[in-house]
Amino acid sequence: MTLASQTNLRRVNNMSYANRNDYEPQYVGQASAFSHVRHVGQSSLTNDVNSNSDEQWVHDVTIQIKEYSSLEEGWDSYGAPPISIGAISGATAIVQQLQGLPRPFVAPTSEGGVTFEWHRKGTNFAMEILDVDDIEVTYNLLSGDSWSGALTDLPIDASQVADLIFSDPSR
Amino acid sequence: MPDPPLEQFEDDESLDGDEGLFRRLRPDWVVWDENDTGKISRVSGVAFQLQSVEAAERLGYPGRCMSIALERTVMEDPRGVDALVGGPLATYGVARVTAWQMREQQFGLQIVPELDEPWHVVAFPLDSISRAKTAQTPLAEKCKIVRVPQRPAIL
Repeated sequence: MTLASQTNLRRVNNMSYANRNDYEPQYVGQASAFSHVRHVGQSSLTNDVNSNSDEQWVHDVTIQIKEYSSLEEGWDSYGAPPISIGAISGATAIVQQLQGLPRPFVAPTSEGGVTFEWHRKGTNFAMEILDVDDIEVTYNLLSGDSWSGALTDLPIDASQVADLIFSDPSR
Repeated sequence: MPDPPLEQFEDDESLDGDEGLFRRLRPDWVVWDENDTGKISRVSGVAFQLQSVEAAERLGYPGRCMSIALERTVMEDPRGVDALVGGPLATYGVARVTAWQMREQQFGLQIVPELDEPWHVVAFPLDSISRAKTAQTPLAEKCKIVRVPQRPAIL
């Protein structure tokens, strides 16, 4: 994980805690950014695809992502560019930080990126890696609220989204 | 690609809301049933993503858009939906949405016939790119699969 990527995610943490007067150490990086998500996810491993252990799915997904480097221009039948080296590097680094979460759906995107997607009963959270420092998030909540933009601009705490996706077994 | 390149998108409001529109489905753009039944659990929102800025420029469009196919023109071909997924695209599936569903998600629609794809239509965002991104999941949830893609051997 590059320092730039860590900074990218550190901004999210700082923003998330800014209104709560909580202390958040600097350079927390991705592991901290997803720590709450991971904690919640471990208690409720229900998602599209989660049939194997964390280590196994992280290994499998890492191989899957690396295979995207062989996709040539037009690979989606609609003129998509190849998946960028930065997207593959960023995605393979991030997937190491997702251990403990339900296995996401992973796919190449028409923008030349890699998407991680969690979906559960009307709530969808997608993280598209376009480059090592270019991560976009899109979520659609059961309430009808939706948002898309840079990870650094995420308007709600990532843990809120995690709660919605992973922690309420009644939904 | 359009010849000449499009200078701007124009929403074709004559397209009735009930018109069917097809979108090709890559096998890895659907979530397969984890019990290995060969069934599809759901379609991912990536199936309804706009093309990249670079691809739009290269293909002669004035902005990012999504290629789809007009059902009634496709069905004039004796191959039916298979006409969309021949040759190297044989593993692809086809999803169907309606013009109304696209417009509900703030997409304009323009018929842009191409030499090898006379049914070609582009859906372009009437609002922002961000709005188009939040439309991906609703479209994926509402689409009907009319041709099932071929499940990859290794997931």
